[in-house]
Amino acid sequence: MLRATLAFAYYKLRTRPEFFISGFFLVALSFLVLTPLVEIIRDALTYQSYDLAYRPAAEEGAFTTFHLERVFTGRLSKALFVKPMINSLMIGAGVTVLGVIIGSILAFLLVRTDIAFRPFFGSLVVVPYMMPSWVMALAWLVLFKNDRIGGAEGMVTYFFGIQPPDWISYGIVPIVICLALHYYAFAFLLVSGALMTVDSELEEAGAVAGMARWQRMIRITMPLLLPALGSAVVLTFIRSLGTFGTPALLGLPVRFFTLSTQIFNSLNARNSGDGFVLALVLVVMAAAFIYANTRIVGVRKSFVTLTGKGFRQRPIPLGAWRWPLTVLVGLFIASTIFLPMILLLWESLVFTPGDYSFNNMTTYFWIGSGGEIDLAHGEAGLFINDRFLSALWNSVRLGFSAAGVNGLLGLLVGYAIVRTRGTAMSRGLESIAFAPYIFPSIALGAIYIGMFSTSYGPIPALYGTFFLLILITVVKNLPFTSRTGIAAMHQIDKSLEEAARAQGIGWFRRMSKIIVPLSTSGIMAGMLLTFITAMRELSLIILLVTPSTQVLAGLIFGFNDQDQTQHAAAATLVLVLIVIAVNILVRRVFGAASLMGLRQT
Amino acid sequence: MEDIRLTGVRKTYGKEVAVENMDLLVEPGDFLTILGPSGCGKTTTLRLIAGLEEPDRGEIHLADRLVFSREQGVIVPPENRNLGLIFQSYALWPHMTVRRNITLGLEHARLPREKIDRRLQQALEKVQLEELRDRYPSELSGGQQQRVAVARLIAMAPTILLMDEPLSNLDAMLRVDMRGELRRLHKDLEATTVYVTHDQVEALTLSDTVVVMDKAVVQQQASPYDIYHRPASLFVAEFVGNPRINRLDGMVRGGNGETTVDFGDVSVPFDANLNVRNGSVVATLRPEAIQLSKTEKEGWLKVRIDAVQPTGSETVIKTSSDRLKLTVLQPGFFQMATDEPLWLRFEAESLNFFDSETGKNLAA
Ligand SMILES: Nc1ncnc2c1ncn2[C@@H]1O[C@H](COP(=O)(O)OP(=O)(O)OP(=O)(O)O)[C@@H](O)[C@H]1O
Ligand SMILES: [Mg+2]
Repeated sequence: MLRATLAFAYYKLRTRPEFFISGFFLVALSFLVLTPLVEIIRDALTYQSYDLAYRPAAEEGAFTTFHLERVFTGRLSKALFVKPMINSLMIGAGVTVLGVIIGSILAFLLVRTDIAFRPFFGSLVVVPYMMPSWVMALAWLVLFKNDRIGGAEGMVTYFFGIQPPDWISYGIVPIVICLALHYYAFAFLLVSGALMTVDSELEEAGAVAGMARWQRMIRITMPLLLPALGSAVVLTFIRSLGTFGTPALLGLPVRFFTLSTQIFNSLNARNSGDGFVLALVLVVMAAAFIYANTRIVGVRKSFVTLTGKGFRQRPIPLGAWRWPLTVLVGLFIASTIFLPMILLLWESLVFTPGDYSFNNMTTYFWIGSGGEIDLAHGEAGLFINDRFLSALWNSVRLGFSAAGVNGLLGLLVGYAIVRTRGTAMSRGLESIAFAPYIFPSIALGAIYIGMFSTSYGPIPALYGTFFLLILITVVKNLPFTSRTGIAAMHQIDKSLEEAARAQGIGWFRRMSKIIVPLSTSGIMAGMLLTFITAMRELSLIILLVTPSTQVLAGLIFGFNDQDQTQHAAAATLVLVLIVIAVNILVRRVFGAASLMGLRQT
Repeated sequence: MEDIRLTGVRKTYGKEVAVENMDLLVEPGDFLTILGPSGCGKTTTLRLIAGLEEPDRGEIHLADRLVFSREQGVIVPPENRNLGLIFQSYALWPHMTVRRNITLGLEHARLPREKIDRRLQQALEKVQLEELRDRYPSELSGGQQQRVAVARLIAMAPTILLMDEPLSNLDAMLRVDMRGELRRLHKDLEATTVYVTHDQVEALTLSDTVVVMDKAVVQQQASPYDIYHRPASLFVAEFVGNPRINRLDGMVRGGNGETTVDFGDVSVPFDANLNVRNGSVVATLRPEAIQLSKTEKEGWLKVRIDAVQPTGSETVIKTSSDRLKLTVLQPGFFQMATDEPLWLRFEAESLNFFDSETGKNLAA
């Protein structure tokens, strides 16, 4: 009997690897996703070595509510928790409302109406999302920086001679605007996807039934859009909660803290326990929000997937509004894409900060040799700057490695989930792969610091290694890649593989000859997404980078911190150009479906 | 020896039983058809033989080789069963040309180049697709795709052929043509063939042996003739045959040395040795076994005409008497007014008797 059981196990190993792939990833991903969470909960509830400064009598590792008290009830609670929490919620709410409104309006105009240049606008309107979210914040500072903190002032002061008030230069207003101009892409993609799948015939059926246009909109189209809107709200809210770059650039100078910047602050000040508690708060908030959404919209409908099936759409004529609206959309796109680029380019060419005249222009910050101490701390121009070049190399390396690993993971995890469908293993793996979704980026970074700063089980201390950056990027992108992988596998009928089995073709060859070629475009879309995310990511890795593993986004943040605005602007331009170039390249090669991954959230 | 032997095979999906305690023997060179309504377990049976599913229990032998036994820990994967498989969807690899579709398996088997080319050539000739070898499947018609799937099989020259409703995606005309081609393929390859269908005409015209399944259980395995004329159960009798077989409920009456079955308006002699429960039986009668007369004849049953449905070469006439409803099938194109009376008769030998509770053929 035992022999028979062993023979069966061996058989499965040899011919049904999906079960072992499933099992392997279930264990590996649980370790990468769940143990960190357990770890920071433990760290948050025990004394750490650095706590001994406050509590000399305490014993390291002993249970304590010290961190909880400090954050939630103590003297510092207001500064540590209450204010940042309120700020985060206000930003989350503001960005969500503004972003979803902008995105939905654009989606409606570009999908359902006869507005001019639809295809052109359609391809440009998601470009802001490809850029790092804080590009807009940098551009904002170029325009509106005032004399509140040191350094030169922005263009408004230069050209008009007025000081923008603080609430325009810094704080919640610019943060919400800048983030909304980035995250509206979620609502745009999800709503336009839903609108494209709403069959005109459904609405026409309503028309036949005697409904007026607005009734059809409310009774038929809106309910079909609701799941998409729900997803957009959740996605936008969670992302704006977890984002670090924009609130740091526009908030920290005036000591306006959000949960994410406060986590950064605490961990930097070596009060990790506080940081961990705050990270947990973020995770719980995100999880609660996702839960509420699935309860309200319904589990099945809460995540919209696109069939990609194009229905016959009858554009709604805008009549006299057509050209005014076209101009408006054109202006919007120009001000979200081209204006920031132009501002950053201009800024990068300014010799004496704050002087935007033509005579003051220089290429020094691009190609200058550096060495002059009073000029940008002696930093050389970008193209001969070792710090920049190594960060650039690191970013590209990170982008490609993470994309490669994610592509492979998407393929294998998708394959394993789809092929073992119906088993507990399949469901487990799917949930685990989706779990990183609920960790706001900054919180995941904090969690990974907590876990990997010392050796953990079989894993050596990874803090400070480049590998850790790849690891966290891969894990953070897992929900998207596994979804694209699953979608790609669903396209491949099971019988295609079974026909090959019957022909005597073994597993590796089936994968390489049939599964991989047939899923390439879907997997590539997932990889592109990972690449873009990895290249521009700041929130996720800001806590984990060290000088030797510095990436572009981190370096730019550093430049800005040191008031090297020209360097920051120039490096940002390079980063944006790379991301857009890779995107265009992949789209050329693998077709327009490449942005599919975005839509499937 | 048999080429395919299933003994006591059972397969469940969760709580649902897809195949129950199946014993199946297929002789070498046999063309066996599994026939049954949707969801009865036909595909599952085929996949068990192919090794794409594993039984919960039971044994499977292919060509005298044990390929599955949970008890003995024996399991041979489909890769090593030397089978040919044709799917309903054809399962052509969409990213490969016709040529690659046919040669992939051969290359994997490490055949020398010349041999691969020769097999490819032969297979393409057989299905008359030489010109289309560099096309992709999406550039072929349904019938051509079907033939590529066949060519892919021919090239591998398997000894066992498994086909799952290979014709169901084709239109009626093409279906008849392809039926002949599949039968020829079976002959050319001299392969033992298991063919799954829910189309009884296909089953009866193509096969040497028919297996009728219902609700995961084999109802009967027999030649097409016996399936049609000597159905093992009421289910088989009613499932096979078009128009549907006539069903007559009757009571067995004994007395003064002669046993008869009384159907109300008619009664027929009955073999007293058959074991009848509670005196009630169900009889079946093929519509074409009924004779018909437009004039009154002595001892014939007088009926009314309810409907006349000519199909061209035949005419289906629905009739009823006081107690019976009988469908009659007549060759030729009949036109009759429904108010005319008709007289019917049939031979007692044309009847099959079934247990009214279990539906088993009483003579079996
Ligand atoms: N992978 C599966 N998971 C769960 N149940 C299944 C699976 N495959 C088949 N079944 C169930 O087993 C039963 C038999 O299915 P099977 O596919 O063998 O039917 P079939 O006779 O081929 O029907 P059809 O003529 O419709 O193809 C059905 O009730 C089906 O729902
Ligand atoms: Mg079937």
